[in-house]
Amino acid sequence: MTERTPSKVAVPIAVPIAVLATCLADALRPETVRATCTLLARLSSKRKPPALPKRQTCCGQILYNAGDRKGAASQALRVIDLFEPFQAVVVPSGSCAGMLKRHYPQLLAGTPHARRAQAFARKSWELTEFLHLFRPRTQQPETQHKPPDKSLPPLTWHDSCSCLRECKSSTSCARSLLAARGVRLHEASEREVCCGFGGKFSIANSAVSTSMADDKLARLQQSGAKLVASADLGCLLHLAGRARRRALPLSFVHIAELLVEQKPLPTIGA
Amino acid sequence: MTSVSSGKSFHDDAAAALQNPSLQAALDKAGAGFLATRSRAFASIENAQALCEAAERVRTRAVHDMADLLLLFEQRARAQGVSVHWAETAEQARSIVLALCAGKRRIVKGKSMASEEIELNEALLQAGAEVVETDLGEYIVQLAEEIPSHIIAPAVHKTRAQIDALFRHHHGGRKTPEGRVRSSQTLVEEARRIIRKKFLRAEVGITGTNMLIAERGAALLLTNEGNGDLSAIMAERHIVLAGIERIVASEKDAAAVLRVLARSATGQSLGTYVSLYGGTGRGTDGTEKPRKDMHVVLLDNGRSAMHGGPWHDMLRCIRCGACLNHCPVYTSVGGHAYGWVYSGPMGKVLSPLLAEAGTDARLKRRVAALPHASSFCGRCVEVCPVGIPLTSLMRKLRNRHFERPQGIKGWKTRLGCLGVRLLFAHPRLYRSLLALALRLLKLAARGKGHVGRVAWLPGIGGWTKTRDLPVNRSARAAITLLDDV
Ligand code: SF4
Repeated sequence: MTERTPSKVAVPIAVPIAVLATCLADALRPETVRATCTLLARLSSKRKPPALPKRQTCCGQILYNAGDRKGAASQALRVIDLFEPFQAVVVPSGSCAGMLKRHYPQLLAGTPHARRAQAFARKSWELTEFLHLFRPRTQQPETQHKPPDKSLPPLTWHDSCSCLRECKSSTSCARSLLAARGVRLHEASEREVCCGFGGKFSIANSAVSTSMADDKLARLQQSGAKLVASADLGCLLHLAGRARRRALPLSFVHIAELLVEQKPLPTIGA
Repeated sequence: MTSVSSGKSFHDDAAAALQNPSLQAALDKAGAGFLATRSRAFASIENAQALCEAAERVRTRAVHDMADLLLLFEQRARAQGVSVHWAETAEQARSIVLALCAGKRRIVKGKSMASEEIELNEALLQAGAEVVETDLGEYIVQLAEEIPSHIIAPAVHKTRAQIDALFRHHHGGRKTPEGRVRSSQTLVEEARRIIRKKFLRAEVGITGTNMLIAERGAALLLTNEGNGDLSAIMAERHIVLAGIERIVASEKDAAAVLRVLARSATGQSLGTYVSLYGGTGRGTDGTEKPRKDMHVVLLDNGRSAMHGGPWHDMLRCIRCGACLNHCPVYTSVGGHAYGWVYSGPMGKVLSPLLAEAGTDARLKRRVAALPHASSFCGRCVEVCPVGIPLTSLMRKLRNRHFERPQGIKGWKTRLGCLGVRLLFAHPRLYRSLLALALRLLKLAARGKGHVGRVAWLPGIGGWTKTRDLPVNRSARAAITLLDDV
């Protein structure tokens, strides 16, 4: 699949859009889902909130990665059935968006639903890609950035592997949204190295996963940041959980909650 | 002799590796170096991407035409007086080499992963021969009675202090005062002196090969120490051990692979020695003369079974080791945790497939779980110069486990997935159970006196052993909570 590079057009959205909350945010971080809906509502001309279909559960990645291809394929079909009526499906996670965009077409290739899966992939978006593409005119061109937001602690950005490698424009979209929000990033080194989350990997290979988290946390701290933002809740829960256990002076926030500009800033596990 | 690994599983060995300070020191030191030199090597040329694509095309074609090219190779090699032997299994390959070494006692070897794969050294030693590895890294792991921990840098897991101690132990000589470690140069010179003597007395030289060139009937070898050439030339008989997928069509094709191989492996533009071994060589007077006794052993050992099937892409591998160097799991735990000669992402795919072709049930069990030990970060796929979709291949191996579960873990995964399928098919049941779970989670958090997190929870012990679990304070799922947005 070719990558859509976000263009410079800004259209106030009138199309019906839906949010796929992701099972992780749904269960463990409703604040992220709420923030996602608020941000999308702000983009709409009538401040209309996006749909949040009640029958949604999970994108099926948990089955896919465990090797249950059949189970993942039927879950993919279920998600497509549920979200197909909408013009766009926005996902506050690079990993789940990658599942919709990259893996659904592969899972359903060779079935009667192959074309549907491809069309569905084209209208699935990782949150920051969507926000960037449809950002209001007032935030363009890039030079009209807000002055630095002094109320924020020094902040760094964690690129999840799925944002880096499956939703490739995410990493630049997120940075540009943050710049527009008045955030000056303290970039960490070796940003392309995985933090060790990997879903079930973090439980089944706990020792390796933890050592990868420690390596990542060391680099995040070296950046001088006190706050880490990311577009993937999986990485954030894993890193926040580890930092908390080691009593490190770092807090973590999902980009949706950061962009909503709510005060005080809600951080994970605080 | 070669101790594969101490623990029973990747999981145990990886955990032990993380607690091993000298291993961690060695890995830290090597890691950054590999990445920096490699990225410099690719950054310094304009058309890196195009070169990789060309190499991928060559390898794709070669693997596709493997059967025909191997026959052509055999024909061309034989025409020059080279003997070609076909070995379907590791066992057959060992007996072919043993027969070729019958009556010979002194054997030198260049680096060959295929020979590690068939555990050749052990067989030769049992037959009463003296085998000396002549690649410095291989020599070190041989002295340590270990297996290579990296396909390019076999002894990358050893610190200089450990190598010094190992040399003292085996080479004798005065003890260095406590805390003093000899320089790398001194150590290299010492090893070279010893290995040189072995070359002079060797009766058989065994090497691997990077590529078999079908049209030339010749084997190509890329080395940095020149030990490959000495192994091939000094002894009366030269045996080349080659996995059948090492084949390429022509010298031109080989050149396309060479353009990326060393760059991707060590960051060199070419490597110090590129040698081509065939049945003839140019004499000092400039005429072609028959070389001495040369044999090529073509090793299948599970490779042809991969051809044309779901794992076909893996046959393209040029063994550059880049996927190991860029893998956050490999660089955390080193190669030995993988339990066999192939480690890192390529090992996670290759080891289970090759082990299946063999008869070693313990090894089969040991490496079967490797495809599960990945966070699927995808960096290996990004760096592989010949575009092997390593994570997709691992996922396909997981699929196969799911279809045919083995052991308690296999069944647990399968039953777990069936349960999850059931919940996904019944969203209302999913909602009720989730609501219940969230309430329990909140209670668990309060029980520990921290409302924001859970420090211990049955079922996800792998998580809570080292990490807290930030909990949802509202104890309500987003979908229920935001119902009326
Ligand atoms: S899989 Fe790719 S990166 Fe890894 S060793 Fe083979 S060719 Fe190199």
